[in-house]
Amino acid sequence: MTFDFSGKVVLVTGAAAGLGFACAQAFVTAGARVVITDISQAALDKAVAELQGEGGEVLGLLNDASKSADVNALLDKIVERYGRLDIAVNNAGTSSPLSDFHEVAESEFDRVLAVNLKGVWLCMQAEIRQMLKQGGGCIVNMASATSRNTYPGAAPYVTSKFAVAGLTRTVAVDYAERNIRINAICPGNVATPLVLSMVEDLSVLSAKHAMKRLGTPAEVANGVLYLASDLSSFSTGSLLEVDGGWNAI
Amino acid sequence: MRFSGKTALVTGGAKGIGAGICKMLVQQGAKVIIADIDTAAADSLAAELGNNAVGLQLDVCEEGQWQAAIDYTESHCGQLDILIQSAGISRPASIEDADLNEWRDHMRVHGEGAFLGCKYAVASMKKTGGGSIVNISTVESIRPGPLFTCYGAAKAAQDAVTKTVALHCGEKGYNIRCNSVHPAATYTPLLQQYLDAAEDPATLEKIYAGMQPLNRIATVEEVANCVLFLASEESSFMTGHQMYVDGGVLAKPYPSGEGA
Repeated sequence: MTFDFSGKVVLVTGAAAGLGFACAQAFVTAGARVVITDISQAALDKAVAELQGEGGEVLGLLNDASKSADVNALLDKIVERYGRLDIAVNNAGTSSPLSDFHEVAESEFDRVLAVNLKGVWLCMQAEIRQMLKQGGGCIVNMASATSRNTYPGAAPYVTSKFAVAGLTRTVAVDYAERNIRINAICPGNVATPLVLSMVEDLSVLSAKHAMKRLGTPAEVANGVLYLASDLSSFSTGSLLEVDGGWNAI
Repeated sequence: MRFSGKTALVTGGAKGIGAGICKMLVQQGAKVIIADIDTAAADSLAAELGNNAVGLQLDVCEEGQWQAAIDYTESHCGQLDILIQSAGISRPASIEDADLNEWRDHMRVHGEGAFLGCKYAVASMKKTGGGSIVNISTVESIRPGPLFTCYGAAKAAQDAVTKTVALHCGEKGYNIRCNSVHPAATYTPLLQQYLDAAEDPATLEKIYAGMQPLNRIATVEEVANCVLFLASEESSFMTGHQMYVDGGVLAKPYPSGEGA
C-alpha cells in the first residue's frame, strides 16, 4: 500500500532520530509537507538534510515539547508557514535508566513525566486549538507496549506511557464530534537510540515479543500512517499495538 | 497491487462485512475464495467480482468442510496466504431470555468456527512460509451489553483463540500473524434488518449512531480498510492485537448509550 498524504501538513515531534524520524520519512515518501522538531539543533539539521535529500518538503524547528511557550510558538510558526496543521504525531519522548523504584529521584520523575506526558498534553492542546479553527485534524500519540503492560525497573517511563494512553482515550471522546480523531500507537521494542540507552542485551527484549524479534522503525511508521490516514476514519480513542504480540502474552 | 499474488479465504464472505472485504481484496489484486454457508449468495458475489473470485460452500462448524475448503484452496490457488473469519450470528437476548440452544449456536459458530478455521489455516500456512489470519470480533467481546450474553461470550472465546494462535505461531516461528478486528455498529444487512423491524427506524438509527463518540454508524468499507491493513504486510509487527474500529465507543465510559 502506498499511502497518499499529498498536500497534507504533518507535524512529527522528536523526529531527529528513531521512530519519529522513521515516521517523518514515511510521511515524506507519501507526499506530505512535514515539520519535524527536536531539542538538538545539530541532530535536527542532519535529519532535515537527509529528508530533503529524499525529495521532501521539510521544515525543522528546534522545540522542547515540555515547555508551553515553546509549543505555542511552534504552532504559530507552522500556521504562519502553511496556514494549517492536518496531522500531528506527538512522538517526542525520553527514557530513564532502569532502577529500583524506591531509589528513583523526584527530579527523575519530573524530568520523564515532563517530556512524555506533559509534552503530549501541551502539544495536543495547541494542536487541537488550531484544528478546531480549521475544522478538523488527526492526532497520533506515541504510547508504548508499556502503556498496557509493565516493565521491571522502568516505573517513570511506564507511568508516563500509561498516562498517555488514558489521556489519548479521554481527549478522543471529548473531540469525537468535532472532526478530530485522536489515537495512540503502542510499539514494542525497536532498536532505536532510546531503547539502546535503556537496555544492553537486545536478546532479552526479543524474548518479550511473541514474534521473538524486535520491530523495525518502518513497521511502527506504517501503523502511524494508518492511524493518520482515512483508512482509519472510524477509529478514535484506540490504541494500536505494533508490538510483535507483546501484549498478547 | 497491494495483494497481487495473494490468496485469501473469507468466511461469511457472501454478505455484510465479509462481502465488503471480498470486494476490496479483489480490487487490490488478491484471489479470493468467498466461503459461505449460503453457497448461492457466494456464487452470485463471485460472479459479480469476476475471475479472481470464487464461491465455496462452508459451514464453519463442520470440520470436514474446513478440510475440503483448505484442500480446494491449495489445489486451485497454490496456497493460502490470508484467512478472514467473518462468518457469524448475533441474536441479542438477556440471560433470562436466551435458552441453551441459543448459547450453543453462538458458541459453535464463533468459538468452534474460529478454532477450526485457525487450526486448518495454520496447518496450511506453515507449509508455505506464513500468512495472516484476521478474525472479525466485536466491541461486545470487550464490553458486552446486557443483551449480548451469548454473542459476547462466544466472541470472547474467539478472542482467546486469536491470542493463543498468535502466541503459538510466534513461539514456533511460523511467520503466521493472527489478529482480531472489533467493529461497533456498522451498516450491514443485519443492522438494516434491525432498523427495518423498528417502529421508528430513523430514531433507532440515531440511537445506534449515538452509541459511538463519532456519533455515526460505520460503513462496511471502514471496517474492511482495517481488516486489509491487518491482512497486509504493512502490519508485519502486529500479532495478537485487538484492533478497534469502533468510533471511539470503547474509549467512552459505560453505558455506551440506550440499547447498547
